[in-house]
Amino acid sequence: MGQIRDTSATGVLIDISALDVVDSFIGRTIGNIAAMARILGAETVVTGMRPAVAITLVELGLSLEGVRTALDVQRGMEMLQRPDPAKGGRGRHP
Amino acid sequence: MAAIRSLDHPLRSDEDVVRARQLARQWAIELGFSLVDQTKIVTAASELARNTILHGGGGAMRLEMLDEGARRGLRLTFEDQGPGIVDIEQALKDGFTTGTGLGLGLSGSRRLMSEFAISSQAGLGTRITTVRWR
Repeated sequence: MGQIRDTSATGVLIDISALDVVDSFIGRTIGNIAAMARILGAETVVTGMRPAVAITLVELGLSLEGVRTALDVQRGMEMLQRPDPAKGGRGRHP
Repeated sequence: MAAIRSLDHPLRSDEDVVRARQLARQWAIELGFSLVDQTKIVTAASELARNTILHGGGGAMRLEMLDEGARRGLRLTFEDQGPGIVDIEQALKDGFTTGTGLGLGLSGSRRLMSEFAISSQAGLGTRITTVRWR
């Protein structure tokens, strides 16, 4: 969070491609990071979620509301450089 | 229902939850579950193992390989001697929590497994039995 302030970051990217399981504890942690980042004016994108993890999360009932997702880090970075259409966000224009 | 193999694993610390996930994964792979099913089983194990520690004050997970001839399955039983669940129906509702969690552990785990049963007595503890068939 200090880094967001120090660098005036407008985006936070969390890559979870190494995780073979995401339970509600990890899901809550990701949601908390996104909520704190949002208050500091930065948008969070979660990238690299494995298909089996996505299927399981939906069945678990965890929707990761307020967190955008992208297939991989490159697409995530591109997403952060565009404003969020859902929120009229403040992402940087290229 | 015959268990062809079983193992008891203590649940006291965060490391025990990690180990519980690893054991559930290993046993699910040995039983030939698909990657998606493995992920569901491991996620349920993670939720219930954490519950056992957070709400039950610690306990144990029992893994059992089941063979019914026509089908095989993995049974996971979580037991603690904690305060127990007073209102099981309420505890199984999405979003209900007594702590700071999301309230998805019990209700979500039930959706991830084929069978799910809770027996609990106030002051004596809780036992949650889950099975995933393949």
